Amino acid sequence: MPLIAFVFAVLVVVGAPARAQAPGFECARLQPAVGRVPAYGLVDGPARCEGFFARNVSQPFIELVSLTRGLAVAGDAAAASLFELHADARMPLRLLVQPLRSGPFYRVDAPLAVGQSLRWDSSPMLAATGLRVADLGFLALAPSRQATPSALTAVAPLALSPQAREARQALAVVRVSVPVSSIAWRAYRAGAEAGPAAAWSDLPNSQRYAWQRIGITIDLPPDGKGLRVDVQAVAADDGRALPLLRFAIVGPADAAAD
Amino acid sequence: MPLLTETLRQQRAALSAQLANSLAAGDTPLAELRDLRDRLAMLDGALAALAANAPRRLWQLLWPVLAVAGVLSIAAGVAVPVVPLSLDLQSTAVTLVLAEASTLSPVVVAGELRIEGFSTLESADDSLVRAAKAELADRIVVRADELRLRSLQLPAGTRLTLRALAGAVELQVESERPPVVAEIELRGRTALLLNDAAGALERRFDHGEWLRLVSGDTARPAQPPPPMLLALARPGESVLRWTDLRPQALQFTERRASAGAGAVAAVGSSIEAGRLTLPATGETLPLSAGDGLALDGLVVERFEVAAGATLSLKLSGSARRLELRTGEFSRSLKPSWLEYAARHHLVNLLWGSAAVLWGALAWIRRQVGGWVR
Repeated sequence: MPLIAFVFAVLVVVGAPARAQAPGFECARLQPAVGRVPAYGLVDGPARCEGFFARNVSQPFIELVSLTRGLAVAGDAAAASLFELHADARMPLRLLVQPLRSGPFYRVDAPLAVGQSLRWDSSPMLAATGLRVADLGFLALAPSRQATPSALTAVAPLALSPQAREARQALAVVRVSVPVSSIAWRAYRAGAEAGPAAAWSDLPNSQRYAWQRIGITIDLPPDGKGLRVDVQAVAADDGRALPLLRFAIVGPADAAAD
Repeated sequence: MPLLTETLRQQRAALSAQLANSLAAGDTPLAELRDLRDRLAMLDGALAALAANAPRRLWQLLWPVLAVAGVLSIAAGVAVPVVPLSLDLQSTAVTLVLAEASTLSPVVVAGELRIEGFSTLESADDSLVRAAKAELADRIVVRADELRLRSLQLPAGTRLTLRALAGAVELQVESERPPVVAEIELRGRTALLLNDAAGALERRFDHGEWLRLVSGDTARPAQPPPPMLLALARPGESVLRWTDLRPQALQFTERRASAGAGAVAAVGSSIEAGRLTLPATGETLPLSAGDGLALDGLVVERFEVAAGATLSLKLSGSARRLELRTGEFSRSLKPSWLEYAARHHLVNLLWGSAAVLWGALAWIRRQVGGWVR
């Protein structure tokens, strides 16, 4: 009987942090890294998942690693370790902080409540990874309505400081998994307001080695509606296009993610 | 014999009561008491001799043997619930039952892609969307310099059939719920043929364009979408490969050409050759053309389909149902508990059987020995 009581007590203790998290928030389904501390998982304090994880990369791809409001981290914020993160959207979002560089595979997930700022301390992540603030990518992901895993990613531009909240431009940072000879992009309206698709524009000097990143400056619509963005990269070795990177930018006036 | 035993027992009971009474009286002569004691001893001897000589019933001797035989028969007759397996085979067609929502990873299609059975076409190229709406298009043929089936999104419970044809791979999607979504990416000179339109829509996408073909209406989740058929050109020796599907069941059937109009199309096995390994028993079974194989309750660790001139499948995992059919003869390939124990707990099994046999023999010897003595 004491053994059963002990096992039960252990289960309660182990289960306790899971109950403490915000309703509807759970860690991303990742394989926590073996032998690296901290391994990805729920951490104490406000609902947050953080740590190293394992990842396999197979197909060549372009991926979005950061979408922030304002063009650069302001001087003060770059030195500070404490961020006041805010995304202007009518839906709860999910914060994802990850390195802009190819490694290490370390990420932070946290819920972003509607209309509220999130104070996030970058020092545990910087201490664990040895990265600088300038190496961090920030995404505010909208929940997907569709159950299928590859539904279009919807992201709201995240302001890293109160000064950046009024900025009318967003900076998207993308990176490629293979060497590319050029990168082009286009932004257009979605749904009923779709007009003729915007023309593609080539990013100047966009030749990149594998895992290098490039920034794209996107003008946010003044009416607060969302945008669709396509990014195309041409592989350096065979001249063929990589699978397109497509994502939706959620505007402050958008009711729900597409 | 039982009558004699009974008489002796009654006499013994009376005699022991008489001895007790005589002892209680206190004044019985010693000679009389000795006489009573000797008679009791003789009666005990006679009863013991009778008991030893009594013939044993057969079941009394054989029940340990029967018990061992029963346990062994059950162990040999009852199959283990889940069997680990690895499968490597070639077939012309395979049907995958996908219990969970799945997405096919991107594949490059050389030349031409044909899709039938979609309800709406979406694209950033507005003119294509309008053309598809005007035509009420439900099928499209796309030819482009660079063509990729970016993804095929399948809801939970979808049946996906892959067929290897000459120069193409055919994917048939039957889903119980919407939506089934095929995403295509094109680049370079492109020709699109909607429905049976005579003229193709010619485009030149220097950077690229995407098409999203949706089958079914998400607003009506109870309405199954129409079946979607995708034919992917596969020139020459090229191979299309998918490694990220996790089927729950696999069926290898193909429809054969029927004798004539109205005749029921014959359904046969699509297996051409293969090898099935059961690590539980260390058995390797060769599969030959026409063998019927059915797998269900799969938990897949690795699953790979390479579609060339034939489909080449590699699977490792475990199955709840594993049946091989050769002609009319069908049998389960799941090993019995006995086979499983023989393979995995051989030393335990040997010691266990030795102990049980020794016990059974000791029992029989005791019984038979008493009889002989």
